[in-house]
Amino acid sequence: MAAIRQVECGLLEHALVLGAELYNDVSALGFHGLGLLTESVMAPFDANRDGLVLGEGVSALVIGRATASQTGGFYLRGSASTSDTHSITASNPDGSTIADVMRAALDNAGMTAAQVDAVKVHGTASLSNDEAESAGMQQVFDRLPPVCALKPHIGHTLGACGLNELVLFCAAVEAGFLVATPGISARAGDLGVTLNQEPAPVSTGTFMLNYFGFGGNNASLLVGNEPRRDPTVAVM
Amino acid sequence: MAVPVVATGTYCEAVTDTPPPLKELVRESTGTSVRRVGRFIQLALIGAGRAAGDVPANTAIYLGSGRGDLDAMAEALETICVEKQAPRPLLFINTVSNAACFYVARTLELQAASHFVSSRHFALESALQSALVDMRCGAVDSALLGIVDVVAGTAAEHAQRVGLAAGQAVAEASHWLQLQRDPGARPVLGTVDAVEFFGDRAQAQERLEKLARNGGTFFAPGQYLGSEAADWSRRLALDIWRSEPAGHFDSRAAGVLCDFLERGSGCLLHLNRDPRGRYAAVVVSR
Repeated sequence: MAAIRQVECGLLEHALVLGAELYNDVSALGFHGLGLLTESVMAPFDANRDGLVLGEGVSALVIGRATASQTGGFYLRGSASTSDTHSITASNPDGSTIADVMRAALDNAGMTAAQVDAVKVHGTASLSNDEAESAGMQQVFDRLPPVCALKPHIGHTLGACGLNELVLFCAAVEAGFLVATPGISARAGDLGVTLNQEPAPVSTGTFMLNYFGFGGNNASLLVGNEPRRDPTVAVM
Repeated sequence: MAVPVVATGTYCEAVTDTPPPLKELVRESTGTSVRRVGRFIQLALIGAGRAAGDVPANTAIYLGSGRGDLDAMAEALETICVEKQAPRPLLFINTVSNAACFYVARTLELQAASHFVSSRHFALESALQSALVDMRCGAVDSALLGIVDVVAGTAAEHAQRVGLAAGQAVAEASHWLQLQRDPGARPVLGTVDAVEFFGDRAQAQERLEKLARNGGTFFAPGQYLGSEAADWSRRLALDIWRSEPAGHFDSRAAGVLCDFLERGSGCLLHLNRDPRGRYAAVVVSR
């Protein structure tokens, strides 16, 4: 978001944004000590969820201002970032702070929740954070659009998950499908969230990508792959 | 667009042996006791608390540091590598870069975004540039911007760890600015007029000579300029702003700016460089 603002205000023409998370003992032992690691698979929103798997990942993105002749690529429609001061390791379980950041991103984009074609959840598969995230989504959406999770595939890449998951999500949409997690949250359990079970076909639309990190960093992005007439910043 | 500064908050103390306890200063600065946090977070709270008079809830936080929470990270690595144990949960959490931002936001009841900016040589400049861009484009109306450097272990251990010469004094510092896009009737201490980065000396020279001609008053050579400082001073033909820190800390630029905003007059141009020969300049007015 910082890079996009630098492009928007003319400070930069383009920005290369990098995200990297590599295995390290501090993170691995720290998450182990917090009891947040699963010994099986990562199953966000599932009744059997019991923690996360750490992942490694490196990703890169070039952003720049869209030109009139540009075709293809993704565009940032809106974004928001807020501080959740409920707990340093967990979002407010009532979902209020998560709902706030999603609504702020929708306001920033000039959109309603009904115009969102799919949601990429943060989905850490921890008991309390998935509870907070599902409560937040249900406060914002009258009816949930298709919901997908990427961490079951790549693990939690921590500080780099924002970029890693944005790039993977966009690449999947560009390839024509929405990522599926077969067998995970196939039915709406106590949290009322069903994850996409098959690679659903998708071509164009506007997508919400959510992130809720340690330290109370909540962020929500709205990206789309249909160019608009007004000046927008192209993502990728 | 110049961004108004309505308050500053500073803590800068030399450390000669073991760093002193900070718990009472945290309580005095914030009006509350914050338990189970390490020195880096305590330092952030002291500086932020001192700069946070009348701070609105929609204030964004920008925290920069040359090395982050070196104290918590050194303890975590000692636990893992020497004691062969997993770090205690609270210690691990405090190694997370944004932990200090979380405690500042919670203690001061702030709800807007928080950012942790790590840059060894340009911590102040990088954090300030982020804040200025966000404020100029209207995304942020109010910001608390701080720079924190902590001493890990004893002064001697810290000096060795950060590569200082034997006997060089070390200090801990927490310098904060409260920035308001539209301060309304609030008194303004000064303004942050520009933050600019340059890829090499030629670029810096061309731009800074123009800045100096257009109303510069003082020149503050950054701590990493080294022997170039005198040459820049002659070239820019500005009076030198003298600001003597209590000892070495990475982000001395923040201390110089706060000092000027508290007792200076006119326009200050601060210039720093990194070992790769890149330069960063900050211009403030009072």
